[in-house]
Amino acid sequence: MDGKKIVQIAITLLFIGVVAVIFISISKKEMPVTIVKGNMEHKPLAIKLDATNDTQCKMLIRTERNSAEVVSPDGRTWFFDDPGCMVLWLQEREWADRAFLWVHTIDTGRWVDARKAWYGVTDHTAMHYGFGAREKKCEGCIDFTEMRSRMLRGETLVDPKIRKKLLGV
Amino acid sequence: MERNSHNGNIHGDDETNERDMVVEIENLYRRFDDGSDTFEALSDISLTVARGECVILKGVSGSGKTTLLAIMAGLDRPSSGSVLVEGRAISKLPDRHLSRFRGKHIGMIFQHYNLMEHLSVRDNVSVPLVPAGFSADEIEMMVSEAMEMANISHKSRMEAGRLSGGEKQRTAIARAIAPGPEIVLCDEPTANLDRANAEIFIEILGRLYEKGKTIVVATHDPIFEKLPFPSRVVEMSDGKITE
Amino acid sequence: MNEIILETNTAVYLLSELIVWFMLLIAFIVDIRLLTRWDYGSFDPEQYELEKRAYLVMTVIIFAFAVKAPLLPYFVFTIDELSALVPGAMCGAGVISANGYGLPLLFVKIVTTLSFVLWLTINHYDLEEGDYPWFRLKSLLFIAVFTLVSVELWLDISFFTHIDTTRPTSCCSALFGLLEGENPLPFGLDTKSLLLLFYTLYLVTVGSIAISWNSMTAISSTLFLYISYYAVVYFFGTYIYQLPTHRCPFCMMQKEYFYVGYIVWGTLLGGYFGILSSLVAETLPGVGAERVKRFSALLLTIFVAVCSAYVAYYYIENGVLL
Repeated sequence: MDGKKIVQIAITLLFIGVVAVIFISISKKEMPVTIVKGNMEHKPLAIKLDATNDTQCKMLIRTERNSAEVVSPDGRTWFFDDPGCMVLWLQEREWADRAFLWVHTIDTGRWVDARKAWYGVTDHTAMHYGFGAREKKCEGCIDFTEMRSRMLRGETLVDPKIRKKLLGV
Repeated sequence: MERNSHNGNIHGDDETNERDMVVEIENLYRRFDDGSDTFEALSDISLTVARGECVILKGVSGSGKTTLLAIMAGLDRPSSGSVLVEGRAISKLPDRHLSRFRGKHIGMIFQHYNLMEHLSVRDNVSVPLVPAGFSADEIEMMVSEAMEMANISHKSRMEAGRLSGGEKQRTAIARAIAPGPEIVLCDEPTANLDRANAEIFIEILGRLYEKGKTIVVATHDPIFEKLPFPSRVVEMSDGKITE
Repeated sequence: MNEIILETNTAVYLLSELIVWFMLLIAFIVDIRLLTRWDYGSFDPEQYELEKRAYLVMTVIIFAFAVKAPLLPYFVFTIDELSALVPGAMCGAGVISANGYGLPLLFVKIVTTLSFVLWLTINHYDLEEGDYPWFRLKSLLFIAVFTLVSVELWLDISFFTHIDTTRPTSCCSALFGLLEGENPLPFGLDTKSLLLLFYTLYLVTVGSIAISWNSMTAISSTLFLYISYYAVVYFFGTYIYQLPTHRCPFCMMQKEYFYVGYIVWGTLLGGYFGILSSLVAETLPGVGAERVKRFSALLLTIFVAVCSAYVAYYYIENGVLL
């Protein structure tokens, strides 16, 4: 067997090894959750914490507290770590009015309809927007429509002027 | 290779069509455009030169013979028409190919010699061999043979600028034949020579003919009308072949 | 926008691109005529004229490429310098993601450079033959090149005129579009298997070049390019920056890192382009491009050596790996 043949065999074996490594890695690959399909009951789903990504800001959702979910009319469900992220993401969906919106409240710790929930404006939230979802109305709380307007106008605790006005810092 | 004293055809007149053609020119035109006027230097030239033949392009100044020679050498391109040298359409070759082809197949002797005055005879003769990729020993051998053929070996170390007209012409011959080209083109080679040197030139030309070189000479010197070896005269006038 | 366009490097860069485009426009117009009227077998006056123009077109294109080639690293240098003006951008990576034109522009630039290299390769062998056997092929390829250059120019102008110096941009994470917590490596690879593939594919590529196994060279070099990108960004780069969390393809082109990024990316892309163009050239009858392939193998070897040297240096200095 001449040298060229030996090199060819060696190269072939190495390449087969490369392909094998790739296939083995693919089979072991774990993807974080970003979307769940088939939720035709349009109910809020349990979130796999530290394994689910907020679709808007790409952060991992570490707690259900003040998290949000959007269920489209065709049963696709997206997850958010902050009601503010949900509002920003939703504005580009033409089916937003027909979507089912859920928030996990910070007062009762339950999933409630986001459009019926109340929102504080100075809460400590995942993306620092300040809108903490509540089942019961609190003093100074605003409704969903107002919260949505303020988010879209950028009037959140992320804006230093708003922060100074609301928190004095 | 020995030549017989026929009319230049090795194989005889009846076999002209079967001869190996080194130069084949067909429907050649060369026009010069200066914006407002077009001057036709060559008009519908068709000419063939067989291998080992000697052709004299005869005509007065302005007849187009130098232009025709330059096109044969690939130093100029025609306006239309085909020019085949050794079967290659040299009029269409890109420049770098043309240079290589010319260096290998064509030796050119100019009216004004075009030597490098500050170089020696030996160095002038070696110039075309250097870029052709020959080794130093090969160059040495080829240069010596060429100088011997051109009868200029005894002046090999002399600076070209100090040579006489005849010696310069013989140096130019040596340079032209050093790479061993099959074709030798001469443009008014005796224009600046006296009678004696012109006869020496003719003698060297005869030696090249005996060696089987294909020779084309553009000249109006009557000395070429009675060469001691077979040749064919092609008369030119006003850019056309008349005879 | 004004402060971006009036920044010296940006102005010089855009002006240079415009001049190159104009040169190529002239070549393009002549090329169309050549393509429609070319008949090498003809000895008509028109064909002689076309052959003269063909030589002119080739010269213009080669000159344009000679000017354009350094404009690619100069583009990288320019956007890197602009990071001082764009809030949030720490290097070129942030500036590139300042608007939607940046990444497509970078991609088109790389593809344009590759297509130029292909054209130059075919042109070289076409001229070598002496009777222009691949004239039509390279003329058609030049039409594609010119189209790409025109798109590139439009993207260039759009990119630089749409950089908003009041809106913050983000850095590496925006460029890579990663999900937090997601494994950024392809095929679900971990670092060890990534490096295993990196060195193995290098050996396969160089070995297949040595024995002229072209199909294997094509596959392995393409895979090597893909894997190398991730290897540089997610492993070797961290040793260049000596920071395990610093993963950026651009920062290594800055002065602080002795501009080593130009060597890293230059040898990788240069080696790959060389391989690709030589493989394409060898599909032309009678063409052998062994020297180009061997030079490309040398470039890839330099690439691997430089990357490995940083790891070795860190280990020798500190006794541990990051």
